[in-house]
Amino acid sequence: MKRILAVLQIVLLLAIMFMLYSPLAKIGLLPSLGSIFRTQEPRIDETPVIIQQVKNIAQMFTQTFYDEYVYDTGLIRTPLFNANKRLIFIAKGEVISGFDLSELNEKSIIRRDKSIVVKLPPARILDVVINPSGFDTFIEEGEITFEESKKFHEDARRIFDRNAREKGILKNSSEQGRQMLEKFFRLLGFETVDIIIQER
Amino acid sequence: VAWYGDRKILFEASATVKAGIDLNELTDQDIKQENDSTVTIYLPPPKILLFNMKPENMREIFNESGILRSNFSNQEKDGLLSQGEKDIRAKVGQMDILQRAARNARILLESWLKKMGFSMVHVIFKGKGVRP
Repeated sequence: MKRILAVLQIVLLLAIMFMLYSPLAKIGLLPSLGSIFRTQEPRIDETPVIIQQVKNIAQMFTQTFYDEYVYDTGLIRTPLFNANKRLIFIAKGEVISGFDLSELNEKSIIRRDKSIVVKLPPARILDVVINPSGFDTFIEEGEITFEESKKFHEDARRIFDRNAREKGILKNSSEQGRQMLEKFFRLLGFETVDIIIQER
Repeated sequence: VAWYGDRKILFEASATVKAGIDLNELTDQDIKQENDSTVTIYLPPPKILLFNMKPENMREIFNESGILRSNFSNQEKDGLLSQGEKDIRAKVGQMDILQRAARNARILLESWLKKMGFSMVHVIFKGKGVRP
């Protein structure tokens, strides 16, 4: 008998709670029970893309170095009562090198009949590209803030830059640039083409 | 944002887009020299050569989660930024960046070739839709 009474009390309590909850949910002060447990697809608001600046550039890309790197932050210790953090992600991207032709001036090109001499500035890294789609989080422990994550992503870009230099991107870039321009000038009818690339 | 169960995040991101000409597509037939001072160059149409969204140019402006929801994880943020990247890439195609690239390539090439002693330089873009 006692057990039946206890069950009835619980049922009554739930019924009262439901009666109180429903009107509040209807006027929007509380969520409907369904919406609490339902997962919704993320909705992305349409925002405008604004052109901030348009610049004329004169760059010649001569080498692209593709890289992939597993970045491990290691265990980041946090103050007492906070969970330690760790982030492991895979970064995929490319390093582009070449020449900035805007550095050329009147003295950089010397023509004598069918001969031409072109003096180029040294090859340099023009861009390191790892777009958001190039980052893939593998392990995430603790709460990594956006600023912290940005710092790690920037560090990954520095690693890409360093790797590309170590693999000789600038030397290859110079050679490729020399060949490209030589071909171009020969197509223009020059018989002797001399490409001089300044040393860094 | 409903205090009990919504999550909302707002990012500001900027991207650098470089458009230009792929000179590897240039063939022997694309350069026609009529005499020592006149040259005609047929260039391939310009295209987007680089799209770069640098982390230092991204900002999290707003991030709020209801009490019944977990915060946005790093993986989720990366996923959302990837969607933003896709969105910007799609919109770049609708801008006049390729026309600008064609115009700039023509100016650059003409000035280069004139420095080399060609007094008459004709730059013509192959393909449709490019009228710089």
